[in-house]
Amino acid sequence: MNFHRRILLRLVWLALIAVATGLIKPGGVQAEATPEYKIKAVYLFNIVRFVKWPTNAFSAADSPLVICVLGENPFDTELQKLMSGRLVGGRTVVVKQEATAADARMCQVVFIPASEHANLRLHLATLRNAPVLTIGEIPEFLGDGGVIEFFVQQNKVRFDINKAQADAEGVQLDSQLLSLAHAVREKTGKQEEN
Amino acid sequence: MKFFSKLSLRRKLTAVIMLVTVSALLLACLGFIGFEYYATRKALVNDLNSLADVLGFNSRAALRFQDKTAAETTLASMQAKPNIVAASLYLPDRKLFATWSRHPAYHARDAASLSEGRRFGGETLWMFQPVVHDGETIGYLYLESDLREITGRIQLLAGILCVVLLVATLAALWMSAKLQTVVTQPILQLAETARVVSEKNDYSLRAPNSYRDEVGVLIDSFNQMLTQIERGDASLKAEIAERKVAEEKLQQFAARLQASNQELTDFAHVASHDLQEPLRKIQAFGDRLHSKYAATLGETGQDYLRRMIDAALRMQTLITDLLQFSRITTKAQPFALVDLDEIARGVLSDLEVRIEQTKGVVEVSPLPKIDADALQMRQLFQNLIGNALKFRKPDAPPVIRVSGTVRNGAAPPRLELVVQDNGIGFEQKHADRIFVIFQRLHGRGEFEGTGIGLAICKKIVERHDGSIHAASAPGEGATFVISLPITHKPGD
Repeated sequence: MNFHRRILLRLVWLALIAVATGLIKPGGVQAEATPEYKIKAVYLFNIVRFVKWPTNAFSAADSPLVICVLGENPFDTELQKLMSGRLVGGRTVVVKQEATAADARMCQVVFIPASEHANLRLHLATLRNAPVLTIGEIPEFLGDGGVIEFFVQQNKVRFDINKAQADAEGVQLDSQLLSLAHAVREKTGKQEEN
Repeated sequence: MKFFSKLSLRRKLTAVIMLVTVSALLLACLGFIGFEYYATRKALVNDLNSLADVLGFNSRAALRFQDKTAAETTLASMQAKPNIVAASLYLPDRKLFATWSRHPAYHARDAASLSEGRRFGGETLWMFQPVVHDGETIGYLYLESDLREITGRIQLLAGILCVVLLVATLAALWMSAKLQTVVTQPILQLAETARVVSEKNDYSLRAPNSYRDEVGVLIDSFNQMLTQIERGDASLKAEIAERKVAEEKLQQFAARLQASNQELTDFAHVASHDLQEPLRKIQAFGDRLHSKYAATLGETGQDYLRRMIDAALRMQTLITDLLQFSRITTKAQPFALVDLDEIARGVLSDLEVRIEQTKGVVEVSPLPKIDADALQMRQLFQNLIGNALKFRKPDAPPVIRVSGTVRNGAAPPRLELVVQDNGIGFEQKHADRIFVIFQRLHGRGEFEGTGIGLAICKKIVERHDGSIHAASAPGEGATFVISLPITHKPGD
């Protein structure tokens, strides 16, 4: 009997370790991200690597890079999976979910998902003049003062960039990132197709 | 080196200069090409390195977003670099992502087998390196460069250097021909002077010298030597001239001497002959006077007559001896092999009566055969043994020893003939006098004789290129030592 108990104990331990390390997900807590958002997560993660924030964007030299998702999180844990154990520009990455834009002013990246369509203008107005890279997926995003807008074209995820807005917020975008964009707005209201 | 040593000084110098020049130029050219090759390769590698860095940097976003079009656009920028043949980007799992090539038929390499780094292969230099972004390897870059540019450049350089080498060699040849005279000119002048001096024996020549180097010293020494030789030559010539004069005088003297000698011999011979005829008449009429008129002459008359006949007899002996003496040269026979033993036996048999009368003993040890005049040898033995019998001690019978020893020390070997007696002897101081003609040590009353015998001996020995000496002391006997060559060269 002793023997069986020990085997059972071992199995329980293994299950715990597996859950802790993310091998097995406790089922049915949240819906999995769609393939589109998996790609968008990768894009977001890649974009972050081509961005430079002003030094005042971080409270300390070793502060983590904070990515915030406003409202509902369509990425599920996709972003956490991508960021875990990796450094961006020498910083660890933290992913947060915030309800209001005011809370997100301290983040370096703010993703505004399609579900926040109604509050878009308010959010962007709140985040204006803060060194925050705003990324969205609502068609009016750039016109309303967002920096990077995802869209799907011919089954491919693409993005436009409002460089003027990024410049105004003191966020520097790498020229290679600009070259990959579908379109880049150099000045307010003017748009250049890539 | 053997071939080299046969070359003239001028050629040798040219050869040395050319050898050194061409070697130095060749080495310099090789070094230059080597350096250029190395430097070009290094520059190429550096170029490729920085190009790869830029290309990798420019491909980061394309690799991150896996934007193939953007990647191909970036790679296509290599179109502007003429020596880049191909460029490819691979994903982190080494799968081909994007490729560009100058040649449409190009197939991108399979990156699975490629190791990082750069390689020279045939006509290409390629490199394969990871593209790193933000500490992560986001892909790999493959870049291939054409080496034809560097090869062409080295070939062009080699061509140019060959032309330079050729021109430099020709220039060096021309210059060495011009400049080597600085070294060769004085030496050639010296050699020419030496040649003329030895050809014409003209020691008054001097090599021109206006050089202050070692060759200048050499030429100075040579000229000094010539001066010394000239001086020596002059004194030698003077000496030779002097000697010629002396020789001429000597020859004249010898000729005169020979003439007078001949006259003397002729005179002696003629005189002896002509003197004999009246002497024979004196003797003949003396004898007749004695046989027919001895009784009428009385005692005193007979004594006068006997003295006259004795004197005539002595005169005859004198004349006979003189004739013999002169005949040694006038009636000389050519030399032939003579058995001295036989000669000695003949002489002993001639003297047999006198030996018996004196109860004397003559011992002759074996004698060799020599080249000589047989008659004169006989005369020599006759005179020597005869003398020994004549000058015997009155109270003791004569003992005479004749012996001969061959001495091989000289060439030709000589016979040492010794005639020893136990007679009255003579004082050593007269040892030379006894060989002079008409010289007598004793009065006519003691020993009869003309004083010619030993003079004849000496003359015979001298005619045979020999020598004769006498050693003696009064009452101790006398020893005559004669040295004669055993052989004579034909014509002697």
